[in-house]
Amino acid sequence: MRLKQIAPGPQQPGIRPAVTGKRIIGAMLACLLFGSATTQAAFEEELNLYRQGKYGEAVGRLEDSLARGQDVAGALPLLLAILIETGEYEPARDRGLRYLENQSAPEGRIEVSIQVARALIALGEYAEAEALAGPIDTPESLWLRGTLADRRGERAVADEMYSRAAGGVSEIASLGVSGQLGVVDSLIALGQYREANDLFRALTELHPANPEIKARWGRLMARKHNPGDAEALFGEALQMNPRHPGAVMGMAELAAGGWDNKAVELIEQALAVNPQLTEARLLSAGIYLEQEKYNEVAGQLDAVDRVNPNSLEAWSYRAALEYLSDNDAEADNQWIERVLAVNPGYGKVFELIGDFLVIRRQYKEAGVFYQRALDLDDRLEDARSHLGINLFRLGEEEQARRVLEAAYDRDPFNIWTVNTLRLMDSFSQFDSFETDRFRVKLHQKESKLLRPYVEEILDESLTSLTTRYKYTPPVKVIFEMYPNHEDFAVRTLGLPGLGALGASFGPVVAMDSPAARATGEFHWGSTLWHELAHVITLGITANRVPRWFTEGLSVYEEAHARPGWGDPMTMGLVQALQTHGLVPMSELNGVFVRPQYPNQVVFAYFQSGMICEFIIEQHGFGKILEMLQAYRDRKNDEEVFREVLGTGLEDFDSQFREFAREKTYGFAAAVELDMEPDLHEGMHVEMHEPEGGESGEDTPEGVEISVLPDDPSDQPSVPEDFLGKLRQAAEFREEGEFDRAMELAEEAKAQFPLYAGIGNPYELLANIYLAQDNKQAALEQLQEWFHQRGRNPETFRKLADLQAELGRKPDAIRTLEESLQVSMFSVETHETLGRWLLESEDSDKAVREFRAVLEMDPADKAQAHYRLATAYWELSDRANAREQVLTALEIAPGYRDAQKLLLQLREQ
Amino acid sequence: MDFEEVMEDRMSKSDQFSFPAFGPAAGRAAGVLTANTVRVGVAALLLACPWSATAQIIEQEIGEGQIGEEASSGGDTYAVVISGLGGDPDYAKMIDGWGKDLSTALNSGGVAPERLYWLSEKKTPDSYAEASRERVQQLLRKLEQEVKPEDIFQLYLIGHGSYDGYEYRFNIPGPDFSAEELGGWLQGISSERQLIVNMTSASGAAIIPLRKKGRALITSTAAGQERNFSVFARYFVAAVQDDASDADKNQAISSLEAYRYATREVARYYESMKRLATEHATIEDLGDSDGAREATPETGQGLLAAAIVVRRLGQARASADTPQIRRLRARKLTAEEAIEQLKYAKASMETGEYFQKLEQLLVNLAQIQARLDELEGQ
Repeated sequence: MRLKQIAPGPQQPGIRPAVTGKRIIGAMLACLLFGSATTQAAFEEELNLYRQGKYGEAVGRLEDSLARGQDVAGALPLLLAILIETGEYEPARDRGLRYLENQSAPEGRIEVSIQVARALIALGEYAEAEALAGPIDTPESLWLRGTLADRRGERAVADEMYSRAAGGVSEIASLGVSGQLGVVDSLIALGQYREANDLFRALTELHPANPEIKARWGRLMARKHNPGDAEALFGEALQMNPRHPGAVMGMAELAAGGWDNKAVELIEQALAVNPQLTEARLLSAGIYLEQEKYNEVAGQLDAVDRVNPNSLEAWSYRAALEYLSDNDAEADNQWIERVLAVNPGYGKVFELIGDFLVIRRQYKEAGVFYQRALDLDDRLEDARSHLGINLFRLGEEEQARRVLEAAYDRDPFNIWTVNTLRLMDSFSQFDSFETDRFRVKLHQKESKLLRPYVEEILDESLTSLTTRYKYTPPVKVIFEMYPNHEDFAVRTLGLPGLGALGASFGPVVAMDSPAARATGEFHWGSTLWHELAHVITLGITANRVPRWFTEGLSVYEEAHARPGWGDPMTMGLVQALQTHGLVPMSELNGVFVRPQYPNQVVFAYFQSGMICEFIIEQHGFGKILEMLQAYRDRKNDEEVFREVLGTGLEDFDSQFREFAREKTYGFAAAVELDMEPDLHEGMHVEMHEPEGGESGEDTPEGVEISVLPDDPSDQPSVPEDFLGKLRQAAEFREEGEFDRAMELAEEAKAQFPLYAGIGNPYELLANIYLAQDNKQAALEQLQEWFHQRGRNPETFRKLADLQAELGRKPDAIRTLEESLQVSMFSVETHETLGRWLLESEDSDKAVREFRAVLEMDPADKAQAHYRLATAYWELSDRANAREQVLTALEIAPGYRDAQKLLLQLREQ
Repeated sequence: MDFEEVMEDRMSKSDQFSFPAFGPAAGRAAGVLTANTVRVGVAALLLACPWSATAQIIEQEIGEGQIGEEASSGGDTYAVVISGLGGDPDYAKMIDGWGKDLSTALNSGGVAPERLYWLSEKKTPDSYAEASRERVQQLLRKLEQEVKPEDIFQLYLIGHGSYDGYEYRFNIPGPDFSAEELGGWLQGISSERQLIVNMTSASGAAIIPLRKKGRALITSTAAGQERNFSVFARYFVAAVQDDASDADKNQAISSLEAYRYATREVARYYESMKRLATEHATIEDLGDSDGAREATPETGQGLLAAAIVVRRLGQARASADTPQIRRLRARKLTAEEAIEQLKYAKASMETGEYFQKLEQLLVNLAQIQARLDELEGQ
């Protein structure tokens, strides 16, 4: 609708606009504050009701006042403000306009005009809002006019408005709250964050009971990457008004930024107060977009349209939706064009698309959009930071540093920028080297130790994967390992706290080094293989492979790389299966981004891996390659499944459910983690959730379980479940009743053979066999444990010793070599391995092991050098043997064995 | 202050040094040197050798080629191991096990059974007595009568310690005893070379009450505030058991070598578990300092600890003592000194030249040793 031009009332010539505004506000306040005592008291009550979120009650009382003709000038603006806060935009607009049309007295006209302008902006009637606010020069109005100019891309005009509004800071105490907020918001718009922060602090002291100030201050904190203080401020605002839409939305944004599903609940809370809140709809649309629930996205954007059909933000989301739906032309020609027609400098549309492309792992494309965003608006500080981080992800380190340093100069508060630059600075402590196919970065403190092992697996994995997938990365793969997990987290997300072990950005892989995790917790070779598989699948599809498929294939590949590799089956997975069941194909991708329960990401990995296994079993590996090609061709899941596998997603769900039931449901039923409490009596089950498991990146093994027997008197006499049997078997073993212990352990094993974690039946049985001096049987149990992906380094050692003792030295060597995957820094393991390899005449590998020993600062350095010398001696490498034996004797000149070797070397 | 300055500084305060048993042992070992010449030789080496080499030489002077532990100092070694109260069955089993293992390792390393006392939480057939306050006091009173100045006295405490902000206490069955009390009880032990290894939680608080000239003191924590259960004992016991802790391959594990082995393994333990270390072992053998985590020239710690052997490796052997063997031993000592002097000069030499000379000296030493082995029937 169009509005008549309505003047806000006469202005006196010669008065500076800000002062004019101030005087008028002053007059208004005077009216508010100094009317009749009764009226004033009533108004205060209504104001308090409003501030407490008792909107209905406040509106009722204000309507009464207005009906009685009391304090119209004061009550009406407040009424309009409440109507706007509760989403009654049209009534607010119409009511205000009626007042302005019919009322010629100056009292309240400006405040009413501003409230009407706010309602018009909310409804997308920008020109009308401009017409109404244009003649008013109060700080709030100037700020509104600034935002309107900003929307049109008239930056100079906007800055002028903001500057004029910000000029009010010198007389801030004389302004009303709305004027004060106009000043502070203008300071923010001008990038004067410190001043805005100081002003907020002063305003909260002036108006301690005003939730709006706290909420807006919280928004500033959130914007400047201080979620802790932001949350505290939102909390304070919500204590005053538990329904405050600004504070609730602030909380929702924080939650959404932390991938917390609480965001959805908070959005609903905000919408309950203001069903027309487009900001809430847009945040909701963003969350759906992350989950690839495109219909829901459209639904939210339609809801925005119904309120404000001219929202640039909503059009930007439309553009992002079209891009992510592979309708590039639609995005360009319809939405982006429409946005730029209104505001040719609206870079945010490209920034938004860039953000969602990052979630889709399309880093290169995201970088292009970030650059486009900056080309249009070089004040988009976050876009610059994201561009730098993306360049870093793509291995463009130098360029990334330049961009990030520029971002830091403009916004030193951005923690992503700061963290990433700090990490880059720490690269001076890393060794870099190149192989035929890799550019590797390892930390200096472990580089010499890790290099041979890392190189071997890098080479093995890439060879295997390129052969199977018929794809060779066109450039050298960048591979980085971080001994400090938080460095890896920053490398991946720009923030610490990530629960993942590794990440692949295409031709760039970063992961934890073996030192980043506790011994036995992390199978680094599996993780490396997993990430290299991502390099292949992302490469084949130009990063268009859906998350579930690339993760599923990586899980599948790591599990088939070598015996004992891959993620072990955990109780947590069984519990997730029991409690929540399988995730439908149509929702699987979204789970990686926004899981519905804490362990769901881990479960999504597991399910995706099983889906790939099912496809390969049913259709052959060739179909996997066809599917990857189809994804490269921008087909979606439904199209790919129908065209390549000949089935729709829902039918596939049914087929897969049968397969999964056969594979796992038996265990789930046997383990029965969520069965009746009495069957769990006496069993203390500790579930450990992985840190940051909702990150959407590759997570650790997931939930582990500690099976701790409680008081034996509480135990059921005949346990039927897996855990009960294990518990009783352990008790029988303690009591020396080996036969009964073995019977129960065997039963437990049959129920859930995949379990090789703490308290597993294999180790229990092996220990009993060892007590009975049946080494062969013990060995067989431990071999099964190994194949079921046992991870206890001590058990690896026990198995290797048994193999060696039973004359199976090559197997023993392999076992110890595999143990390095979970326990790289065991001097004893490397020493033993070195000796066994030397005995097996594999002196090359023995050299590697003895070198590793030396890198770990062993207690017996002389011996380590001597052993390395003997390995070189066996290789007829006289020069190295001499160097090492001299070093051994330099430490310990009286070392007899080394003396003998030295004399041998001299004689040769 | 560089190494040379440190050593000069230390030598200018040479009265602070106390190596009472050097003379007789080294003289007898080498067969040609007197007590005085050995002291002079050691002093010269102190000026000339890097710290580790110095410690090594001192240890070699004392221990090399000796027959059993008795020859090392001209006296006997007395060892008292006290494993305290466990508190719960798991800890009790662990503490008891470490006490027993340590006793066994000390015994196998040359401490005669009649001079080795293990006091455990409960008296067992293997232990000497219950680790009660009375029995500890009784034993120490007995040892006051037996231990001579030239003997080595070693005391090992394993278990839980506590610190209330005022005093350290060792948790034993019955009333605990404090570090001050223990220090008082040890006053009568006349041994001029003593070793106390306190492997309990909060043991850092025992440093000041127990430090003394001529006493090497090792604690598993740096302060009384480090109250968590200490794993240091596990690795110190392992060090005494493990031949690998004989870093200089002189067939004897010194208390310094055991300390270094244990601290390295404790650090590795916490690192491998990705846990913040809650204990920081400390060594004090100057008798008047707060101790240090590392024994280096900079900290000044470690000389005495290097000279106290906790376990001798290999079988005691009867060595012949012919003129030819004596000459070879003298040549060997000379060769060893030459090697140490060369090592000191390493920093000022070109690497190739250094290793060339080192090789010549090492070959010479190896040849002498080979000949000695032949003559001594090895």
